Amino acid sequence: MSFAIKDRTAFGSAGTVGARVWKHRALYLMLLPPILYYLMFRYAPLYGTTIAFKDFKVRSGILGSEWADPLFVHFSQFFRSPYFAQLLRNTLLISLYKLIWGMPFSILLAVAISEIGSKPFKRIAQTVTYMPHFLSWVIVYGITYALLSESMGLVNHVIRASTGTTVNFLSEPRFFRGIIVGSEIWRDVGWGAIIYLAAISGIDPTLYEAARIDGASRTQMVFRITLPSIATVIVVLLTLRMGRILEAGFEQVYVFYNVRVYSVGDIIDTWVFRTGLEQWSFSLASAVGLFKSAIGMILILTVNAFAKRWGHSVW
Amino acid sequence: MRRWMSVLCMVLIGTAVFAGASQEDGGNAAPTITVFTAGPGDLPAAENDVILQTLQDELGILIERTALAADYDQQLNIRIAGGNTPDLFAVSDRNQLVNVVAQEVALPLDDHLAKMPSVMAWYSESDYQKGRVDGTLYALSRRPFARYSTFLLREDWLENVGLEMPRDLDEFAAVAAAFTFQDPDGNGNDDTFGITGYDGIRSFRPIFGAFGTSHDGNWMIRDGEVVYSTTDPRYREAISWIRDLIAEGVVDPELLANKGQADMTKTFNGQIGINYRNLWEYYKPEYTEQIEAVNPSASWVQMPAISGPYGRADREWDVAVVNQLNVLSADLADQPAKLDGVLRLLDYVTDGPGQRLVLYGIDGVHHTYDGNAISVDDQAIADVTYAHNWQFTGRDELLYLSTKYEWSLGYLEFVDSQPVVPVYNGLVGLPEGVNFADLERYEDEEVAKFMYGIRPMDEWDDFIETLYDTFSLQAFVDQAEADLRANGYLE
Repeated sequence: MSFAIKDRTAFGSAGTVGARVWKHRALYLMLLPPILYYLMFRYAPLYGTTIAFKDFKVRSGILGSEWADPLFVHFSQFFRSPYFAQLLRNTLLISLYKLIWGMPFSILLAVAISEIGSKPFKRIAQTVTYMPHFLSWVIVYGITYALLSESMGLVNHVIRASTGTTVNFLSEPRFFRGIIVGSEIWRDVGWGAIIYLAAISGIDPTLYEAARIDGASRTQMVFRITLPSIATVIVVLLTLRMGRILEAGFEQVYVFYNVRVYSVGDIIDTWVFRTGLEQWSFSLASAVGLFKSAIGMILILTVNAFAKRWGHSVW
Repeated sequence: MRRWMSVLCMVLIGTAVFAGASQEDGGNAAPTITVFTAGPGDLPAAENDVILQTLQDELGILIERTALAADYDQQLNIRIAGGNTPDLFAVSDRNQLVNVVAQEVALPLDDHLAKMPSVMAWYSESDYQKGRVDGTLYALSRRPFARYSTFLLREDWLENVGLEMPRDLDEFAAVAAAFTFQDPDGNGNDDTFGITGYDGIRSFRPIFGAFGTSHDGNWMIRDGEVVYSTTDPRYREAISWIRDLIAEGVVDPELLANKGQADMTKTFNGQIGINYRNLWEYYKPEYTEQIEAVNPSASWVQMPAISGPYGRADREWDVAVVNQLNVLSADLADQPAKLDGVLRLLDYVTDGPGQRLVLYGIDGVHHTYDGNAISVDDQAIADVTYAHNWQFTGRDELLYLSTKYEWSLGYLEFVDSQPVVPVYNGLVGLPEGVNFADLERYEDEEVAKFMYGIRPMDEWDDFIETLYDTFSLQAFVDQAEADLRANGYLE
């Protein structure tokens, strides 16, 4: 990168934009692919969301389809569904439970793994805990069924042996959200811990050395050094998660739910799936998607504003 | 080294772009036809598919064949939404047909029928009726499958508990109870259940049949009036009866949570005495082997329809039953060579050598045809069990099945001889502007509550009222009346 120094003499302090770009052309060149990626795959498709306001017909295409009359008819179809309030509540609750229960577990795991002294064991522990992330939800349901099924599940064998009764875990509304959140934690706790582990490994080791010399215990070091040091990462992840608060995990819920637990398990995405599939409502699906993004954005902005007060904001 | 890598990347991206572009030009060569249907996923790769090869040679076309085992509707949806409509594709029922017609991706077929003489020879007015939307033919309905499903029952358990084959509802309940509480497998453990199913609240089809009605969501005609099964007073009686059955504890507690083959696993494990399933799952050799591996004494028999307060019937049966509707892409209107290829393909597999090819494989290899009768080589035909994927226009069911699976004839005739409750869903479309999925969910959810004793039966009228008030049931009823009148089933 020797040309950078040469450039300074060539252009002096001529601060025009063009000159500055030319000066750092290597960096800008590196920036180009991601910019192109976002333009092509994130911004260009945005015009497709206009079908939320159109009566989209495949043959006519996005531009050729008629504007919906009234313009917000697909939004109002969603809002007027007798299930709208319930869907929103289920989605928010499942998503929040996953957040509230899932994050501390991941942080705890990351701290625990980072405290392991033996390097090989640390690696094995990390690998073993993030592996379940790669199992599909169908397989996780299979495991859950084998454990919780009333007629043949392991847990119910124990319950039957000790109390003589059985519990229908899979079709009881009061257990459903717990099972969803629990299985998500089981599957993704290790995956979520990776980023905290990376943050922990970035903490200056001299902090720990100093603390050790001062006689700090391990717990004290965790609470006084580790956690405060990764606080920013935690807040950033929390803020970003807020943007996806209306994504409660379609694939998982679709695999796990059944007619008895619709009242607590049906989420926005499963509703869109059933409605969209039944009536090929591309416009409806995209209207709901837009609605979810709008809520997500409002939440990100709000959380970030709060975070700013504590000095941990994302931007 | 790094420069070398980036050059390589550029080259790879470049070739990918050009490869995509060069696929378009076909010149005067044989037209390539894309064919997209659902299937059990048993289709071999094109080079191993002798039926595909033969069709290509006979018809002078190239075929790109996809048969998806899962998520077919979504995949089709995505392909069509992506402007990549397959030349020939299948939809599963009338609602889907109405949707593709509304999306203007389906080609009207009336003017092209003349090019399909075998189809015209074999198809009856009622076959065409299933493929018409507002009087225009948009789909060739596959000639329907025979009925395969009944309640199946462990005959050896029946002997162990000393009961006869049930003939009415009371006897049926008694058998289910005995299968649950009288240790029918004699192992000294309380580890059996009476009834299971794979289809949730619809697993009780023969019970609804015994009440002279059908499961929720069906259109029936009684005394010249349209009756929606969910609001049928007989349906309420049936639900109330099933509620007692479930309360007794004789039904698999996971009935609603069973997914995939969970009910069959319970069958293989010997936990279940009665299941509503199709005969292939219980009598095909690969399944009987699994059943006998765990319980050598297990013997499953088909249960005859039982009688109830409104006569005797086994289940509902759609008068216009649809198994597959073949739709041609509207894009073919400007591509005469392709269109001609698709029409010839459909016609070829409907009759004569083409039909024999897709039923029994290649003449002289998998079967021999002496101009009159077919004899199947049992060994060789096992290589073309995937042939059914090519039977777009269907087959002469009983002849085909009994030729190919000789053992099945008795079982098929048994199912065929059972009385049924006629329903008309295959002819009824969805009205616009109302959400059918919401209605469906509400019905399923509440019916499950009534069945499982969670909602008291005296709230049934409130339930029906909500269907009309909140879920616009009247719009669906009006649509059904209009459609059935248009098809001549109502005065």
